[in-house]
Amino acid sequence: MLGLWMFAAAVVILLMGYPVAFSLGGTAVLFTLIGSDLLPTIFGITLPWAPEGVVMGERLFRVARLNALPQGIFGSIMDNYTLVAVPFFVFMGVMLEKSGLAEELLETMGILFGRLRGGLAISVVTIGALLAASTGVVGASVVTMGVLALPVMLKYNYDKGIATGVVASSGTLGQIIPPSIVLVILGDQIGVSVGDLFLGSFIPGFMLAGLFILWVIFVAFTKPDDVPALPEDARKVEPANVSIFVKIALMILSFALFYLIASAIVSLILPTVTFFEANQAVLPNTLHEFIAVIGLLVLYVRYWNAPLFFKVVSNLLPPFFLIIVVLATIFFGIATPTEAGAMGAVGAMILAAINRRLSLENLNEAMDQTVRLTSMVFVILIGATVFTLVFRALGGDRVITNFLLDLPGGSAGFLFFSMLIIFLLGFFIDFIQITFIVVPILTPIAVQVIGADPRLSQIFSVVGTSGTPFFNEQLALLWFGVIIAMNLQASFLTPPFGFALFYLKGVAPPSVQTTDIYRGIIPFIAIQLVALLLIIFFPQIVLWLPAMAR
Amino acid sequence: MHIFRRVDSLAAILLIILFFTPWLRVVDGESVNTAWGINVPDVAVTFGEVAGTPERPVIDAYLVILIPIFALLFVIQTFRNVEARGLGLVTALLPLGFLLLLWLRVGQDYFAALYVGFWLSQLAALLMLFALVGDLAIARAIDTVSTTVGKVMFWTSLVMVLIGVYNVITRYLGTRIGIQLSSNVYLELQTYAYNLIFLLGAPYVLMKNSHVRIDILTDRLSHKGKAIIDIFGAVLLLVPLCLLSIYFSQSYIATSFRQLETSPNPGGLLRYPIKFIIIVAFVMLILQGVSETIKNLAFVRGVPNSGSMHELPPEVNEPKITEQTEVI
Repeated sequence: MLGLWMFAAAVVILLMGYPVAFSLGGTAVLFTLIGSDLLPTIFGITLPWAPEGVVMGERLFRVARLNALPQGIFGSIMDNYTLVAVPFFVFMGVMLEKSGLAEELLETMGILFGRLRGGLAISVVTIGALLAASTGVVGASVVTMGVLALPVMLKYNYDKGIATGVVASSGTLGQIIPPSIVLVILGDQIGVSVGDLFLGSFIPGFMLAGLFILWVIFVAFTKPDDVPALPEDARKVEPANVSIFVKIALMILSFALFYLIASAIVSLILPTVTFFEANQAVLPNTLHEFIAVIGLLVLYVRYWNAPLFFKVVSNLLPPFFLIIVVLATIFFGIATPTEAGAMGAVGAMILAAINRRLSLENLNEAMDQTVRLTSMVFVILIGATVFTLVFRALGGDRVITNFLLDLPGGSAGFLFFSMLIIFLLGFFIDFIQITFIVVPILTPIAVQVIGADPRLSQIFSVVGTSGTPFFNEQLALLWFGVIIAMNLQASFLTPPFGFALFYLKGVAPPSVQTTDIYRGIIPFIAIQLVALLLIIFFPQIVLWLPAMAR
Repeated sequence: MHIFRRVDSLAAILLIILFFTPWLRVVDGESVNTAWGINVPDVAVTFGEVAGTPERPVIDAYLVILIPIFALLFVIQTFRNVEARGLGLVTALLPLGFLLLLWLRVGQDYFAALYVGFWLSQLAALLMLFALVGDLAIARAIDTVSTTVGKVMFWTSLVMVLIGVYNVITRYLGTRIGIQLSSNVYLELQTYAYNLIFLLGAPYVLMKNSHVRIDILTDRLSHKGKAIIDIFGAVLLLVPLCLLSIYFSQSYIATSFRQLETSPNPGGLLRYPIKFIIIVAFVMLILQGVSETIKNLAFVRGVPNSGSMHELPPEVNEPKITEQTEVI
C-alpha cells in the first residue's frame, strides 16, 4: 500500500517543477525514511507507525536492500555498452543541425516540389523524416523545423493550422525513425537488441511519414486554398558555380550510395546472400545493376551543366549517404549501434566541414549539448534506479502487476490499459521518465499476457530446431517496444501538454496562436492513432524487416 | 558585545561547546563518548572493522583536541578586535577534515557510531566557513569548479567520438586482415569517457538549468517563487538523494579499492577509479546544490547579482541557427 502512496507522492513532487531526476530520487529517500528500518536500526528512533522497530513486520523493509544501489548504478548504467550509443547519437544530431543541412534541404525540396499544391508541406514532412533518421532528438528537430519551415509556409499563405501541424508532427518523427535515442533507451530497458528495435521501427516510422504525406495530398484536393503552390518566381534557381572536382566527387558518391542500396536490396530479396557477399561481389555483378549504373552515367552526362540537378544532388546526397551508412551497417550486423553512432558522429563532422560550418563555436555547441543531454538522461536514470529500488522494496510493483493481470479482456484489455497509461503519462512527463519507470514494470507483464494469448503467441512464435513452433519473448517485446514508441510520439503531440507543441509555440511567429497549433495538430494525432492501431492489429509491419535481416 | 553579533565568532563558540557534547555512541553498551574519549581502534573493533592497527597509533584521533584550542584562540582574537581570518579558516576546516579522515579510515560503519554532537559540530564548522568567506564567494568558487569540470567533459565527448571511431576501424580492419587490432583498453576507455561525461557533467548541467523539469504547473510562478521551489528542492530532494547514494555506495567502492579491482576482460583497465567517480559526482552535486541554494537565497533576499538562474533571463535551450536563410 505504501508503494502506491509513493507513486502518488512522486507525481505530486514531480509537478512541483524541481528537476525530475532529483525529484524521483528525493521521493525515494523520503519513503526510505518512512518505510524502512533505517531510522530504527541506525539512529535508534522508534517510528510511531511501526512500533515494533527493527522487528520485521509487514510494514518496514530492510534498508540493507539499498546496498544493491551501487551495483545498479555501476552494473546497469555505467558498464553498459549499448547506452554508450546515446552520446554518440546526440553528438551526431547536434553536429548535423549545425552543419546547415536542414536549411539546404528545405531550399532544394521547395524548388523541387513547390510547383505542386501542398508541395512545400510534403517537403517539410520528407525533411522531417530525413532529419529524424539522422538525429532522434525530438525538441531539437521541432525547433529547427519551426524556425526554418514555419515562416516560409506562412509567407506563401499556408493555413496556420496545417502549417503548424505539419511542422510539429514531422519534427517528432525522430522518436520512431531509427536511429533514435528513444529506441536505444527503450531497447536497453525492455531487454531487446537495439539493432532489432531499429529494424522493427523502420517500416512503422516511414509508414507514419507516408500517412502524413497522404493527408497533405488529401487536403490539397479538398481544401486547395490551405496549401497553395509556390509562385513561379519563388522557384528560380541561381546557376551555381560547381567545380568539376565537386561534380566528379558527387558522381562517385552517388555510385557508392547506389551500390550500397542495391546490395542491401539484393541481400534482402535473396535470403541466402548476405549483405557482405552482395557487397564483396565484383561490381556490377547483375544485369539490372549494370543497367542502372549506365543509367546513372547517362543522367550525369545529360545534366552535366544543369544547375538544379547539381543543387539537388549536392544537397541530398551527403546526408542521405550518411543515413544509409549508419542504418545499413546496423541493419546488416556490420556494426553495433554504438559503433554506427561513433561513425555517424564523425560523418556529421565531415559533413559540417564540407559545408564550411565546422567552426570552433559550432563544435563547442555540439559538445555542450552532448554533455547536457547525456547527463540529463542518465542522471534521471540514476534517480529512477533509486526510485524503482525503493518502490520494489515497498512491494509497489506487486500491487501494480496484480492489478494489470486481473484486468478484464485478456491481452486486449492489458494492451488497451497499458497504452492508455503511457499515453496519459505522456501528457505530463518526458519519454525518458516513462521509459525508466513505467516500462520496466509493464515489460514482464506484457510477456506473460501475450504468451497466454493463443492468437498473439502464435504470431510471435518461431520454429525451433525440432520443427515445432514456440513462443519467442524477444519478438513479442520487440513489437511491444515499437508500439510504446509510437504511442509516446502521439502523446507528445496531444494538447494541452504535448511537448512538441510547447517547443513549437516557443519559436513560432507571434501571429500564430496557440489555438491554431491545437487545431492544426488534431488530424495528425488521428493519423498517429491510426498508425498505432495498424501496428497493433498487424504485428507483421514490425516483424517483417527483422525477420528478413535474420 | 560585538563578538556575539558576528556569525563567525558565534560559530567558534558553538564549536567549543559542541566539543564537549557526546560525539560517539557505542551501540551495544549505553555509554556515549565525547570527543575527549574518542578512540578510533576501540570503536573499529566494536564494529568489526580493520582500521588503525595497534602497531600504528592513530594520530588523527588526538588531532580533534586542536578544534577547541583554535576556536578559543579565534574568539580571543575577535574579542581583541584583531582580524583572524586564517585562524578562523583553519578552525572551520578542522572538523571537516576530521570527518574525511574518519571516513577514509573506517568507512560506512563509523557513521552509525557518530552521535548528534559530531554532526552539529560539522554544521557549526560549515557556518563558520560561510561566514568567513562570504556565502556568494563560496557559490562562485563551486560554480567555477563545476564549469571547469564541465568544460573538460566537453572535450571528453569529442575524444570519446574519436576513440569510438578508432574502435570501429581497428575491429573492421582486424577481421579483414585476420589480426587482432582492437583492444579492450580502448573499448573500456570509450565506456569510461561516457561515464565521466554524465557523472561529472551533472553539476554543470544543474548549474545551467538543463536538467529536465516538469513545469507545466509552476510555469506561471514569479521568478522568486521558482527560486523558493529550488531552495526546497535542493535541501529536501537533491542533497538527501546524494547523501543516501553516498552512504550506500561507500562500502561497495571501498571493497573495490581494497582489492584494487581491475576489469575482468583481458587487458582491461583499472575499475576502482571509475567507481570512485560515483562518489565524486555525488559530492560535486551536493556542492552544486549548496551553491544554487546560496544563490537562490540571495536572490530571494533581493541581493543584486546573486547569479541565481532565476535572476537571469531564462536561457533559451534551443539550437541557434546562425543565419536564417530566406528560403526560396
